[in-house]
Amino acid sequence: MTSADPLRLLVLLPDAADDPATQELLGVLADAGDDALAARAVAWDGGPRLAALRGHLPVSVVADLGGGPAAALERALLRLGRRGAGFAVRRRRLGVRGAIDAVYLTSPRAAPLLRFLPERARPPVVVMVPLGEMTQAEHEPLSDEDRDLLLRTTDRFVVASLLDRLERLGVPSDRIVRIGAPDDGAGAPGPDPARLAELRGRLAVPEGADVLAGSGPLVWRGGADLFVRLLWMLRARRGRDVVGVWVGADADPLERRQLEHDIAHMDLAGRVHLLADDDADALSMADLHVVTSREVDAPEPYRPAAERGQGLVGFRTDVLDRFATDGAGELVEFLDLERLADAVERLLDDAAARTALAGRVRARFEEWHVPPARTRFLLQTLRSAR
Amino acid sequence: MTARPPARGADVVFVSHEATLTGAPVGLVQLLGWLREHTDLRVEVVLVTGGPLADAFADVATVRTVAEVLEGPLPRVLFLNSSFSAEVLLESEWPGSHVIARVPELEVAFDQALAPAARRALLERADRFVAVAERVRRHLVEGHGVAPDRIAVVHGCLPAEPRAPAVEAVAAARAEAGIPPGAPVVGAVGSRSWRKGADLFLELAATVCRRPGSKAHFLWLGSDDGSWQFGRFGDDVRRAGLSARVHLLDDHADPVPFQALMDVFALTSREDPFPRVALEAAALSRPVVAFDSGGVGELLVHADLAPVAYGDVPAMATRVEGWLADPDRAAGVGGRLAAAVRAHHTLAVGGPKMLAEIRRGLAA
Repeated sequence: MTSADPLRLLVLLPDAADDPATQELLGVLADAGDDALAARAVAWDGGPRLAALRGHLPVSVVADLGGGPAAALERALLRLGRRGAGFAVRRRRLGVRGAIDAVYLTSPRAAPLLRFLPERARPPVVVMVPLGEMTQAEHEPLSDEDRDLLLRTTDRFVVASLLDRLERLGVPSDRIVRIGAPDDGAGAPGPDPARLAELRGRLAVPEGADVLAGSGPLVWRGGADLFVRLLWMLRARRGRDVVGVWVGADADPLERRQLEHDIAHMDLAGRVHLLADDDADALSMADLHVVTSREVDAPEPYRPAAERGQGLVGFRTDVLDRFATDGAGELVEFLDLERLADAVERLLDDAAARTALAGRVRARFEEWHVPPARTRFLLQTLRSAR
Repeated sequence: MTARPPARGADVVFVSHEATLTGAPVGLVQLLGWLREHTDLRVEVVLVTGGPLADAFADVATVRTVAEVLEGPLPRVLFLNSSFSAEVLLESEWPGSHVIARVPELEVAFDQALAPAARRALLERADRFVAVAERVRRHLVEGHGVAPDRIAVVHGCLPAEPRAPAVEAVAAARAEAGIPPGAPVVGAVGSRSWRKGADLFLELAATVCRRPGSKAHFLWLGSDDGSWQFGRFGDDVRRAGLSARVHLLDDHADPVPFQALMDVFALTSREDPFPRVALEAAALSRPVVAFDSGGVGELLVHADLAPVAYGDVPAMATRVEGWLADPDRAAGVGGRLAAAVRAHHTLAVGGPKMLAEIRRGLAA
């Protein structure tokens, strides 16, 4: 099979509810195109989106197999992890036969359906894991047996929440594919040139000055103070103008005063601008976006840079590390401001490298969040699981 | 405990805003001891709030409440040991009392933390200001329009005979901190807070520890300030991968053995008018590195040193590394600083200056 061959995909889904898992599948089906995908699906239950799904692919529903005692017993046995007398027949009726290149579970909640798969020559299984479904006990949708089955059977976990840490469950990291949650749009639209000119004028950004951006609420753990010291370090090193723009809401007047104290005592007045969210357009002035947050669990710290297609540098966190794989970001260890300054300085001095980095950042953002690039990435993941 | 209830109003009532193990209250206890030893002044103390030093105050003076003091004849001199003591001025105009305001604060504390009403009362009512550093005097003159001739500069002081701790006590302190024997130690003392720059100390540790060959350990002695920022300071230490190299200890009743195990004392304060902890480290012949954040330069100049620029952690790291790599040079710096403390910053020097200010008030 080549990449041009249709992917023979068996989709297993818990139901056809109007929820993110079903929406995600509908998006994939809509964006994939018939040439790339030859899919069929099995759902445990029906739901309001069943008709919409059937507009794209044949869908069998376990609950439709019949209401008699035999079917009820069969469903109960499946739930318990046992195969009854009618199993083979029902599997055929559900359409689980013929050649399958990959099996795609839209949610871990579809795990009971894995029992329909052939035990020998089982096709590769890829599972999309929405936020917290595997690692947050309060959202735990699976019985211990189903979870064991899922962990034993799955070849690739596609983790839509970057905060999920499946490694805790013993899943090797090479079986985990990171991807963000799907986005409705294509990211923040860039402001028009007149708006940017107005901002540059209002902030008195000198002609030719390099501009760094940071963002987040103006709280200690957001790391705006580290952003300020980075800027000071760069200005001390470079002998040319660097201006910092930080966009984020005030949280505590005391914290703002403390930050302003640093700015004043480092002679950065007029060179660091603390702006409210209303002026988020100012982020688009930046040559680079810097993430200096002290938080390790911020969900999408790459987003401001990624949406705008800007070079991303910052302190390493799990989330940023996953995003920056293959060069979509330059990261240094936490509190290593000297190396952060090195990275920023090098990129400010090398426009081509900066542009290339920005391109990789934007591409990763689209791959993770924006259809149809996100769909291509998912299909590629399904193909590569073979 | 000494109880000398005065037959008439006290000569001097000292007001301490608290009785914590921090610079201003500790210094006042020592000054009161010196005054008791060298003068016949009738002295009382008002503690605006309490703290672990309350007994030590009671050992050197009669401790009264503001209400008790206001009931009797008012003192001839009211000595406010810090700007935060000025809240007693809001309770009375203290008619007839000569008010001396000792100011161990700069912009952040004086202009921002101090309640506006207390600041106004202090600036209007004080007859005389005692600035703890030249830098503080400038702030009062340039920032608040205080007439220069209303201000005396009396730097912070230590007791005449700084106590050198026993070797065993220093070894015990090292063990308590969890620092391996023989490992070089860079230390700081103070509350873990924004103003004291505990975050900058961590950044210093990160910078030094990432440089090749570094074996230094970093010790911060002092509890967190209760803020949510520094309540989670340990998270940052762990994230920086420095749990084995950065040691955080809470306040200790006897900090001297911990100070004595420090090979370098790092003052990372964002603002510190004339830090007592730096004096204490200097008295123990520790080399002191500091940001340009207050009056510490007035101490360092005696060792031909200047503070590093505000927030310049790499420069501070370079100085620390230089001293750790060259113990003889570090010892030379520490020796000069210790000599400076003996010459300029003991109560043998500062006590008479403060007494002169008090006598001036008594004569007014």
